[in-house]
Amino acid sequence: MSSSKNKSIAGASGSSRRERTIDIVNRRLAKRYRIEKRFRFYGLCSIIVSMVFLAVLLTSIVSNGYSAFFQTYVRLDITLDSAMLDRENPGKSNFQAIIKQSINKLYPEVEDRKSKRELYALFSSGAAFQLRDLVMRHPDLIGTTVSLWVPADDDVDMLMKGYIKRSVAENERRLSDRQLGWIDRLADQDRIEKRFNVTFFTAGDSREPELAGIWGAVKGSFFTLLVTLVLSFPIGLAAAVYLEEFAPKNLATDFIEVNINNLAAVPSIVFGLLGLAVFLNFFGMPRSTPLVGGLVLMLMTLPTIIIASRAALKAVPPSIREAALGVGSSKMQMVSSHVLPLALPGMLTGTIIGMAQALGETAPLLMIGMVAFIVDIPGGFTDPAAVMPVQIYLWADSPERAFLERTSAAILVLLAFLVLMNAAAVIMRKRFEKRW
Amino acid sequence: MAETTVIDDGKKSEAFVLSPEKLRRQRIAKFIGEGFLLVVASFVAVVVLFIFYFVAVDAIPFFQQRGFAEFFTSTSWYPADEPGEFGALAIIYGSGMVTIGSALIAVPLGISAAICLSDVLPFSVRQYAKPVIEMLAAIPSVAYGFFALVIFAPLLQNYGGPILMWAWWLIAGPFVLLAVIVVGDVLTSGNDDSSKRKTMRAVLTGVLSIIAVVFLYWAGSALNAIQILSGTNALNVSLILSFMALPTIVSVSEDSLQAVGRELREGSYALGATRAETLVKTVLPAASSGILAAVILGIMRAIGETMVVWMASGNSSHIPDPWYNYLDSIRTLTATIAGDMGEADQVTGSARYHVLFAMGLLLLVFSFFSNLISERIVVRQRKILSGE
Amino acid sequence: MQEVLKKKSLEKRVLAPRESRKTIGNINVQNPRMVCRNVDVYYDDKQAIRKVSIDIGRNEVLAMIGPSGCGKSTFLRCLNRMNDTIDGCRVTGKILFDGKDIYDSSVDVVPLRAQIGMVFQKPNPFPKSIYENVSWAPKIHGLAESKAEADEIVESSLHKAGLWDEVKDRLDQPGTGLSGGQQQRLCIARAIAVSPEVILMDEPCSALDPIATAKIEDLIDELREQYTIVIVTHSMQQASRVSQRTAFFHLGDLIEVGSTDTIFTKPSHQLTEDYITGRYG
Repeated sequence: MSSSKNKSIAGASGSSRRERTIDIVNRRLAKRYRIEKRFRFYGLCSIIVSMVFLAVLLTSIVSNGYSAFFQTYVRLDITLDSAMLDRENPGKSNFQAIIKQSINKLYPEVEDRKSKRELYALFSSGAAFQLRDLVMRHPDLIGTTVSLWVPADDDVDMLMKGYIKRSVAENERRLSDRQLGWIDRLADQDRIEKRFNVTFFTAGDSREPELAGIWGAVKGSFFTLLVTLVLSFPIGLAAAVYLEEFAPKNLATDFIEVNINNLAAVPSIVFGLLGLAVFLNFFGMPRSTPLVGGLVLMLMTLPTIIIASRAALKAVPPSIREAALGVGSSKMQMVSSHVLPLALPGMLTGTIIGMAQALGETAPLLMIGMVAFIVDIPGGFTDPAAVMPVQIYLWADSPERAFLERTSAAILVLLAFLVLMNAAAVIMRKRFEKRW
Repeated sequence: MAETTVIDDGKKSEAFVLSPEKLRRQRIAKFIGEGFLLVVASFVAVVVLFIFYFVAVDAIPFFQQRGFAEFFTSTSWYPADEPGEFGALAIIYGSGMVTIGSALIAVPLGISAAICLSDVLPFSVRQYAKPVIEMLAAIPSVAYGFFALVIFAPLLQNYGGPILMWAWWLIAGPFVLLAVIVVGDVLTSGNDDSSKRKTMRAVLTGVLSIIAVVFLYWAGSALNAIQILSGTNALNVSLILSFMALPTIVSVSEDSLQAVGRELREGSYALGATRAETLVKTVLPAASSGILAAVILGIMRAIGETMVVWMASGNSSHIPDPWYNYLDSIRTLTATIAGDMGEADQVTGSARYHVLFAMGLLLLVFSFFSNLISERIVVRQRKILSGE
Repeated sequence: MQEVLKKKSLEKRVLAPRESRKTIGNINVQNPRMVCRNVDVYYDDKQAIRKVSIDIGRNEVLAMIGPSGCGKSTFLRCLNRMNDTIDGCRVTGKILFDGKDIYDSSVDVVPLRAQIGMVFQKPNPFPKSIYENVSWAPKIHGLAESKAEADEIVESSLHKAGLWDEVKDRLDQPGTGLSGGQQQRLCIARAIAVSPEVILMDEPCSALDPIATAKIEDLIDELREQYTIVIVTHSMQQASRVSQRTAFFHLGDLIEVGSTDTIFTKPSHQLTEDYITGRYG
């Protein structure tokens, strides 16, 4: 683009043989503007591509997941025959048999064992437990007939949601024509409907999709994050305060800073290896617990908290420090009374963001054993637990169609938590930015 | 210098002079206070060394048992066999493959997005564009893995050919056409006569365009005919990884571009340069080190990612045939560690257990090294810009 | 913080290594408050103050003037050991306050700074309420054990700083919400609250408008009755208005010291005269 240097540039009184500078410039102009437009176009394209990808990602997850918030239930009229129930020990009775009895009453024409088994398969195995809980809570119901909405089997649920298509040939379908007929009869009797899937939010993991919930994973995440927060916030704060306020400019300080930076560079799976080798194998801590998970995640979030805290401390103007020292405060007093209160919002924001990152971590927790199938809801820090991302991963691996929608729904719940946490951080940042 | 009589009001000086005992107590208190902080800060620093130590301690036995040659040169990965084979070359290759693949997508995309955000877009649009990119960073990796496995993989499998063809047209199309125009301009710019040059350029551009379109069409239909056997392959992973590395590249590059400062830009505009020229000739060279650092950080993100590759790469430990075939399943270091540790942990002390730590050590060393380089680059750029 | 202060130190002008110049004028006073002898200040290897000796008298206002970079602020900061906070800054020589060298190792800098207070160039009230700004330091020094005592100190300090009437109804509002001149008076009140003997002022009016400046100059005159004031100023008019003695610094040396009248009407040193007549600044 520099062939213009061959042209002579004359003054205002240029003769017709030589060109004026402005003419040379104008000739090039059109092409330069074209390049300009193309440049802008490419830049915008890349942003649009990112937006499109994000939109595609979110829409596909939402469209797959929203149906999981509803579950198909069937109304059964169950006679709590005192003959079949043990009044002294209600919990020990054979509820499975009672349920089967009430199903048989709806379909008296079904006789042989094979057909009966096909029939029972339409109802969730959790129905028996639901009935048991009911009877144990209200033993006075024994001898009466109750109308109970029990969850349908996940195949029925998939049919009702349209994921199993009737148009497909019978031998390629999970439900036989006969079963479809039985389901239709329930519909005619107004005995089948989709209700809000409370189980999803209150139950722990289960092999049966219709009984599976994320509550166990949510509690596990909560305990794990609590351990992470309690450990990483004070340590991160202290390290940041030391580096910003007290550390002399020498090799030792450089060493510390370099290594804290390196900590941020360690791949997440290596933290898992560390957790395995040190916490599980060396110290013998219990596997798959929020305690160990929290310890591992603490190491991962420390750099985030330290970097954010240091930035917050740096942002406090030096004039305030000088003023405090000038009236005779000691360095510790100055830092604790004047600098920290001003830097605290920034530090908290960084901590919340660090926690949000920790909430989404999966790989290191897999390594410390959280890949096991855990049904019980954890009660404390040393109970085996799953965390939400691990639960998502486990469900993503499951073959049942019903788990697909639940995985998506679980992702949505996780994303909701993340959005909340990030929003809290942003709000806090904005609110405290104006203070001074 | 005459000495004046100083009225020593002995009482006053007691106020700020400490008795030796008080002095000592004060010194101890200060020592404890600052010492505590020092200990905490050092703890954090030392953790890194501990990580390195513990991983190395468990990795070295592998090399003691099996040596270095097999790990780095053999592609036979059969750890469960008796005796096992631990050739990790294919796995290392797999890691490299998806990292490079994601870099090829994320780097141009990320840098142009960063340029767009810092210089091109008006402030109001920037307010919305930036959060979108930051949102990409906030999405947990397991969600990306789920998307890659459950939604994107079947898509590739069922509609692979057409998708590739569309992607080809979308990306290569504008580039090829741009190349045609530029070539046309360059070849005809030597000619001085304005009108003759215009006709020559039109003719040349026309001819080249036809050739270009034919080429695009031919390549496109070739792609269309491709049958993707398995949706879980290197292409899938590379694509998803690129969107995970994108936010890192964008934000660090943007910081770097902002750090160049208004003065440099204004100097260029004042000389009558267009925005594109200012960016390409002035700003980008000044920010180049920071952008390079951003790219390195993005690569680190890609190579350290576990969940997406574990769920969507196919986990097949072999070097694709031919070596550039991204439509084949591969396996990465991170996925191997995550996937095999379940069984390997049962046989603690065996080569099977230790080889995973060897892989971890490899990842750690690579990450430290890249981090060091990127740190150096950033520090150097800051020094150059601030004129030290 | 450390980096900012380090940068500040590096910005000091490079001084050519040479012998210190003899001071003209009488450095001594009767019954001085502070006595400085052969004070040198080094920032790493560069010397910023060269063998300065001067007395500071009781209840006088001593003005320190000189072109920028001559070291007057540096010297001022030595008097309450604020230079301790700068990395790489070394002070040698003697600075006596009530007969005791303040750089002695047995001196605790914390109560020292309660006795020798400082007001800075740019007003820097704490981002707390007006009340808290003034009461914070007395509380940490134990001068105000109860709320009643604190109230009293706050009121009297604000009175002395000439700010009480303007803020007495809004003591709980943030100090940063005041105007520039009011903020600086608040800083003066804050310094007064710990009952210092000496108040050091580092160009206190350079960030203020003329009206606020005038108010503060009046204030300095009133404060003189109770405190000793050392003021660094860029403005020769200000120095001639508020001070009784003036010291002229140039490139780290104390060139001339004497009564303000003498310095401004009959300076003895050529450099002093050139500076005062505006030949250089």
